[in-house]
Amino acid sequence: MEPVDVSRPKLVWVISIVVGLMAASQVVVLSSLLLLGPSSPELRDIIASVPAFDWLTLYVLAGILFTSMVFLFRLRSRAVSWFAVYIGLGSWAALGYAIAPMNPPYFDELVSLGGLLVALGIFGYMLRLRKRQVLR
Amino acid sequence: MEVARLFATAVFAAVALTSLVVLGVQLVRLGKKGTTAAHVLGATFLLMGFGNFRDPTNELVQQAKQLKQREEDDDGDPPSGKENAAVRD
Repeated sequence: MEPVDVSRPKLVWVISIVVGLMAASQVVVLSSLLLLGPSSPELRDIIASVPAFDWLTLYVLAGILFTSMVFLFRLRSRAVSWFAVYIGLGSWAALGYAIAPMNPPYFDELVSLGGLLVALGIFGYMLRLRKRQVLR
Repeated sequence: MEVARLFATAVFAAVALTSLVVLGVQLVRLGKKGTTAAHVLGATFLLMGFGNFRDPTNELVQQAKQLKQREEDDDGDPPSGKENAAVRD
């Protein structure tokens, strides 16, 4: 049976490019901060206060998000699983930061809640695309 | 504002727990399939069980014992200024 050609919806273009670039820029910014060093002493203090595990978490989350967006752009159903992993890990990380006695400088509950709601919306859209067999 | 932050934390907790349940269900499904990946994963979990997560030097227990000993040695309130003056008179 011949595979049916499915045109890429416009929203997939927008989501995969915008979110993918966001994830890629996060990796670039984190790497430049680590490799080139911060520009101001305040920023240096903030960076020094972030534990290595948190750096790793930020890198891993950005990597998973970028992979998911690549799969979404290619209309692969694996994008849904990768994005689900991103939401799961991201919410665990956010929960850890939220219940900690002091919030890390790069974390705010309400901003993260907004991000989580947007991510859940995108996840719902992906599920719909998979159900319609746009994602294969 | 505090209520909003609490609500946000509750949402994070709900999504995190849901993801944990989904992960468990997926693992059970994978286990039922009996693929090589499932065997490797199961063996990994088995190996994790052999790990020694307990502190072999017993450092925490030693610290607690020392603290208890110190508390027993320094038993009672220190003498106040008035008592010292009465002793001198």
